[in-house]
Amino acid sequence: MSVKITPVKIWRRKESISNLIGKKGVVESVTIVRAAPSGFGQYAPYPVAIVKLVNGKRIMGQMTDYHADEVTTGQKVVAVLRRLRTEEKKDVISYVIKFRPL
Amino acid sequence: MKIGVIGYSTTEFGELWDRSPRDLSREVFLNSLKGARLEAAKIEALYVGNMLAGILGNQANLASFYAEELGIAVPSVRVEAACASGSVALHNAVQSVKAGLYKTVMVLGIEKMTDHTQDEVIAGLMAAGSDEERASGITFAGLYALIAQTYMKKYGISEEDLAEIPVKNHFHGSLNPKAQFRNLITVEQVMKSARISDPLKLLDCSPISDGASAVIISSDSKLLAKSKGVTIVASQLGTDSVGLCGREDLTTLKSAVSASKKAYAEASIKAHEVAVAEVHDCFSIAEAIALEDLSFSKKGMGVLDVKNGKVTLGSSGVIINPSGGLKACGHPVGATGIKQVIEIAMQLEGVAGKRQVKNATIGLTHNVGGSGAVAGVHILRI
Repeated sequence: MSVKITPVKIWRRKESISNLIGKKGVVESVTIVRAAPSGFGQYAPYPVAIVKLVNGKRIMGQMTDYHADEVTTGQKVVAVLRRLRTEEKKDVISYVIKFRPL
Repeated sequence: MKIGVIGYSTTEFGELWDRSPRDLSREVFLNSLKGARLEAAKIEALYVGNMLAGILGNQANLASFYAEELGIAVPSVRVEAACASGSVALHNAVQSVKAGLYKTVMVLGIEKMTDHTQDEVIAGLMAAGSDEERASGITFAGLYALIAQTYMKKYGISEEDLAEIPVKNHFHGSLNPKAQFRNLITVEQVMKSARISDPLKLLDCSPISDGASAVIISSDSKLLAKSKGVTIVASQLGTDSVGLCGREDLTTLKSAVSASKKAYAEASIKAHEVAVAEVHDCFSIAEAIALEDLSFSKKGMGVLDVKNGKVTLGSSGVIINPSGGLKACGHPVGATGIKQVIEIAMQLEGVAGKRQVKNATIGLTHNVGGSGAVAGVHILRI
């Protein structure tokens, strides 16, 4: 059993997710996940951050396309759309918001 | 109305591979009845606290499952509130007795986790988080790591300071024959243990455990008269956002603050009157924040109060987690909230052996679900 990420749930949130693309924010807190849940093990270690967007809203997501020294509180980031993980062949591909350092 | 804890029993916590959930439930059922000198027929209702049976074990319909196993065809309810399932089940049982529906009720907290692989359990526990959290690949250790990062930066706390918390809890656990870990550890060992989610390391994290705990509560004056006299004087819940992103301040759990304020008011006591408390130290940082949320420590002083020995057995202040807490005693998630109440009942009755807190008459339990979405606080007196 792996973490259940139902693509249809992501699809229903398509507008709110699309609206986040390109939004800028600052990393408020960040950790590096080294012991991952099933379904994510092949990607570990990976950083996950709480980002406070310019509009004040907080979003949690992985950091992507980063250098090690950018995985830190106060780092400015932008929300980008990324594939979540490699699914089984029969599964629908899930895309989520991740954060790229600026 | 007086509601007494008239019987209780807990299994050893740990990797109990040779025992099924049925075996564990039967052990605590029979032993709690024996302790209360009660016949099974006196139990009028059963409340079961459990999180993962449906997710990992594919067993739903859990209240009837255990009622059948225990041979009591009474009204039965399963309560799920993540790692606070035990205390929320107890809260519901207390409400039913207060409402006059039943006089004598059993609450069973139970979890079987080690039948499954570590990454399956980590994934299963994420059912207690939000959609967004699951899609980020975060874990519960990761969520508490985000809390720890914020707290440590705000108050200038080092990883070595934080490591004092599991060191203290392993010392307490070494005195508890039911604890999963009874070995002493050092700050150096915590620092050298595998990194799980920075800044938390393996020895900052409570383990994956099996276990069951049961209490029998009653308002029946005859049963109370022959009991040892421990009563539940407050039972309160608090609620907050499921995900961490819904929180304005990551260095406190609003659910726990709200539940404890209501509980102190219900019991008509102040925090400083509590002699002993079992708090939800699922990760080291959680115990520090619990101390502050329960008004035992000033803001920013939780870690340092543990480091300075203020809450260790033998200290004159409130003793925190004499059982060893979730870290050393173990954390079978649905059982934890009930085990905490049993530890406090034993402390108040003066039967806690080597880990006995002297002259304790008021004790408290603090049980958290998710990363603070729910908290249950109970206060007991003798």
